[in-house]
Amino acid sequence: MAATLLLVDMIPNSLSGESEQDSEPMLAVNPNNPQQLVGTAFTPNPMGPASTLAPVFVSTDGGNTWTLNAIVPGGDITFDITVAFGPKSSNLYAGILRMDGPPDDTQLNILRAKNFQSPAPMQVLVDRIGPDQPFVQAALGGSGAAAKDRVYVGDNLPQSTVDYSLNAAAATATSGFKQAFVESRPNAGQNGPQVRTACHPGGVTYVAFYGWRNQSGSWTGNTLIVTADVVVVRDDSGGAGANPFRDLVDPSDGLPGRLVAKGVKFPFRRNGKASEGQQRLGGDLTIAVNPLDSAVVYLGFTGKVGSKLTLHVRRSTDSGQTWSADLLTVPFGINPSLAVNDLGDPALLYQQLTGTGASAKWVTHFRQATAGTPSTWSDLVLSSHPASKPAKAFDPYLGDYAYLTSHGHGYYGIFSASNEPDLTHFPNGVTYQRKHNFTTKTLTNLAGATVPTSIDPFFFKVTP
Amino acid sequence: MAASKAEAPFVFEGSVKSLKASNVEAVPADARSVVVQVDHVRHAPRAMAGFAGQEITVRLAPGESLRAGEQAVFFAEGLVFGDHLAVQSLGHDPLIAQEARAALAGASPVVQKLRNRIEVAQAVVSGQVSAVRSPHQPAAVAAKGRRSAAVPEGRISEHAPFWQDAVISVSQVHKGRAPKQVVVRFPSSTDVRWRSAPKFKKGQKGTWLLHAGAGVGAAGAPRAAAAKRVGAAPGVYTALDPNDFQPSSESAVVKAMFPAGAPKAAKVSPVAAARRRKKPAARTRGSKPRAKRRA
Repeated sequence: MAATLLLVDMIPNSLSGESEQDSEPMLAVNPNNPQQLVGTAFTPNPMGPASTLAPVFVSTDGGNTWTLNAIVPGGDITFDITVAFGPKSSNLYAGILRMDGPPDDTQLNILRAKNFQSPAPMQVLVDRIGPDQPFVQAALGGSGAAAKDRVYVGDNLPQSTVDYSLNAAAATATSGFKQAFVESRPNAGQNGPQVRTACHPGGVTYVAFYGWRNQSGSWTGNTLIVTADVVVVRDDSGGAGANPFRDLVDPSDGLPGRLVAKGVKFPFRRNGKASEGQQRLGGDLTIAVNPLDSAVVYLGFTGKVGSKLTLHVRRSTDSGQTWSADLLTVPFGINPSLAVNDLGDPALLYQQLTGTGASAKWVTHFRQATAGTPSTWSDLVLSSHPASKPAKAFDPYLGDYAYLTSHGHGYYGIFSASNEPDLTHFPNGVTYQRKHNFTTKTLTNLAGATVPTSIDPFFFKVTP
Repeated sequence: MAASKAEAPFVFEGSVKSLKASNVEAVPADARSVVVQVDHVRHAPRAMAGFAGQEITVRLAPGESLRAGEQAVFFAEGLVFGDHLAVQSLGHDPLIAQEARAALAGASPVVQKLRNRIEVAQAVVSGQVSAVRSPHQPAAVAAKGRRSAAVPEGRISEHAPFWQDAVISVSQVHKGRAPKQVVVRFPSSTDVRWRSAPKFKKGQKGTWLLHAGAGVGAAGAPRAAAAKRVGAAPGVYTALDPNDFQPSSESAVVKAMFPAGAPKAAKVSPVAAARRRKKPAARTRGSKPRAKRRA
């Protein structure tokens, strides 16, 4: 049976007049009620820059319709935000960088809302200067009445770090979260901002990061090339022990952290370039574990093959000790996100730059394989739009990540793309909440005035 | 969150259609909710344009009451943005005649925000950007070029500001004291973090609201610490809020903000003045060059 797709532009009808660059999206699905979803992006509070709370997108009908709820402290917008639901409590957790933080540094907050639909601002659980790109995942620790929300926040600068709590529902502003530094080897002064976690229901937790080993070119000159190792660490008890995330060692040096790929090169851009689809490049990582078997883990990363940036997908079936050859490679595939459903079947979301010059396009793909044939991937194009339109308002154009997760057999995802209401851009269909006209390919505000095209967040659900 | 009517981001004239009502699912209909038709939008962010004629849900402020059919000027901020809009009222005023509206224009939230920024600015000057340059680097950073390839150029973050200094040739001082040249440190980064911060180019003319050090938002411990690092050098200011730079096309707005008297020409700072007293031949702004004394 063919998969069914629900694809929705998340900007609500009442915000038909908005034309912001809603890039870098993230999605949370409440595992206790998948009708409840929260999405995030670089979406400012529609009430303007004086606002002190940034919004999240909320759906209570499985993603068919969305509203904005401004509950994120720190300014009218964040400059990084990810979210996850607590599987025990249904609390919403977020990792953000506050816009009102110090100008010469970043300010991480880890937040909690006991009711994501309430207008009450989220509670600050961790407030720390320095980290970058906090990436939240949540898992169930234990079972029955004793089960707890476990929350893991991968972040970086200067060291690859996991901030985590084994009982986040009870965490306070002064206690409840610990820090684990997961890099065991010398690096080139710092590591990359991508620190991604994958949690198995049994407690096994994987972390993937780029260990930067060398740099060439110029950061300020926008020509920096990073040489890195793709490293995976593991903790078999989710970080409950005295020495967290040291359960997987590399045979070459006996140090924690399996070196899955060594000497991977990628550009780390200061600005997105027109020849690269306006997108600021800087490496990509994703990791997902099979909920049926904690030994089966999938990893995606980008690195140059010759002169071409390439997305690689690999698998381990022995808890990360050995890894397959590439199961899939995608030229100029970025923003990958892997998920494994409750049948053990992996799926992959990514955005690919195709063509050059005026014919260049950003094409967003959803692909799925099966546990038995992991090298054979179906392909569903979600979006395809010119890479030069709309012009970027800031970096990053599409975001430093997109996101895919699973619930039951189904996959839930979010990505950012042009909102031009042109059905040829959405070959498998799309639903808009905001005012639009697919015939004239125009957007309008509530009064009927034309609104320029911009980048919007798109939610999708694929039911295999 | 806006604290008063003066700070309300959404100001509109409306007619009360239904009491104890709501057209937004997430806002329950109760004694504190009314449905109001927006008759005329007086002030709204760009994304809120086009609401005239729409029915929206208004959650009343504590102690606020309305009658069915009542027309009023509503001061509100956003609450829920869905298929319909729900707002939180910060209060309302009776609707008054058209001719009296002009008197209220000066109290609009846009003007109020600009006034607030002027209030906290150390100085307000008009002038032109004469140069844009890199800030002076500490010796340790300047030496980075001699490091090996494996050593990074400082901490690399996509959110880095990439500070630049705009040198402003001051033609008028509207508030405070300022020398004939001031330096405004600004982020040249195109990262989302700096999307709203004004960026400057050589030749640009306008009015700057100058702030000592850097503070993106209200004062706080981290920001105070950062202010010691950014723009903390004497004579170096920041202008990070979108209101902190008014292009020359907005000169009428600036004039309206300083109605008490004509702007002053840029003054020489006390330190510079002292130096100049020691150098009698030095030229001051507005003076003609003195003839060279004959030996």
